[in-house]
Amino acid sequence: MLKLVGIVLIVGSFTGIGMAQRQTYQGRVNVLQGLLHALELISDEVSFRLTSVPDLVEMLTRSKQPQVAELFSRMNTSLQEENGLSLTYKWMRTFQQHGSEAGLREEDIRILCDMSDFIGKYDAKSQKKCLDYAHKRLETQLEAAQTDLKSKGMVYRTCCIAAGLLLVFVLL
Amino acid sequence: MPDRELIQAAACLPPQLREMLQRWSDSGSSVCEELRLRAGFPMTIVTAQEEIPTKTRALTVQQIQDIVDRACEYSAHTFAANIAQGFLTVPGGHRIGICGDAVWENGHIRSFRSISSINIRIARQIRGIVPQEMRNRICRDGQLSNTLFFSPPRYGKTTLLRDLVAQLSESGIRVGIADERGELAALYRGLPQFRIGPRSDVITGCPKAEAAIMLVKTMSPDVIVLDEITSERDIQAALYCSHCGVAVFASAHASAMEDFQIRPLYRKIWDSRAFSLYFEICRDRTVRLRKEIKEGSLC
Repeated sequence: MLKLVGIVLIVGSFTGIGMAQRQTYQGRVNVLQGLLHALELISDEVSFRLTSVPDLVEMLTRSKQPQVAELFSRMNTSLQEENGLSLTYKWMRTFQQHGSEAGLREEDIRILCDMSDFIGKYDAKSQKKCLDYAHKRLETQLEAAQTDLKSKGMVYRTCCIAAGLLLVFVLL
Repeated sequence: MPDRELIQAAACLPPQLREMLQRWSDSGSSVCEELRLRAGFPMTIVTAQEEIPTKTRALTVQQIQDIVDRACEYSAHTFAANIAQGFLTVPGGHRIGICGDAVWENGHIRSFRSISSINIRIARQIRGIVPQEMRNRICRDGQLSNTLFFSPPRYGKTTLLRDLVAQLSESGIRVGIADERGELAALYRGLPQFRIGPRSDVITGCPKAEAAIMLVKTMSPDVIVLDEITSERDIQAALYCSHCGVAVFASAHASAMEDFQIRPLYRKIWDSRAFSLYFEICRDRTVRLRKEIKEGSLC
């Protein structure tokens, strides 16, 4: 009976490790997808309704993707602070400080920080062009993240289960 | 008592200037009408009597640019059309006039390469400034007369029109406001920042002429309000409204009735006899009837 419980615990914990590792890849895919939707919304709002940046950020706090909503909630709080700091600074600081918590990698965060060079600074047409470019760059990141999820995510899960089973056989 | 409007208008200024204005407001000094900020000089406070330099540091071009960026909520695209006309309106209806190195393209100002000076005009709501006698003249036996108010800048045309709108709207008259510069009603996120009455409909952010025609077609107002007639199209819109049986209240820049009558643009208004009442607003904010044309209304 004890052996059976031990086998279940070992295999279960190794599978858990594998699944958790896979989940980090899945998380990045989800955040990038959420951010791509956010960019599409920004682009539409800027070109059609000329919505101001604080209003856009406020809108994005209600994103269906929880990590994206959390990122923009933090930015919204920062924008409401009357400390004389510019939007550029606050935009960059939000992604630099909280991007990795949301599951983003350094290269994803760099693309989002680069947006601070144009967001709210030019007319709608110019901003749309820049937003489209940022969208393309993030799409490339998403493709890479999906490839990682398929290959590495699968490998982690399979390897961890296999390692658990191997350990069980060794211990038996 | 703190000057709420001044503090609100100063929200886009750097913290040290805001604190200085807070002290000014708390000290109960003269009423501030405008704040002037020019690169290379300290900020000045304009009262009804004088322009007073403050004991603050000289402003840099970058500081002025930062103030404008804050005023337009770091959203150049949202305010691009206004900035191209040299102004932007901030919450509370306070107007910021902009000067500097303009970018000229296809016969229009597109933006400003650099901003050298700004003028923040403090908008205030003063209630009950429309005298009963004037109201009775404008609204006689339930009939509204086309009325024009004129004065030089800063004499209170917009303030008077706002109070008139509020009074009429509260008395049951439907008012359509073509608020191109957002000064009269100061809509912010859909809500007027000033008291304009429960029966007022506002279109802001588009040329007065288009807004007036849209209001006539869609909201069937009893009266259309056009603050500051400045172009041929505004005059055409006023004529269109009056031909549709809608009364028109408008304001214009002129120092006196004679000045009004000789200006080429205003001459057309005069010749059209579209307005039947002409009121002059004096420096002491009193209002005088300058002309009444009995048969003039086209309604």
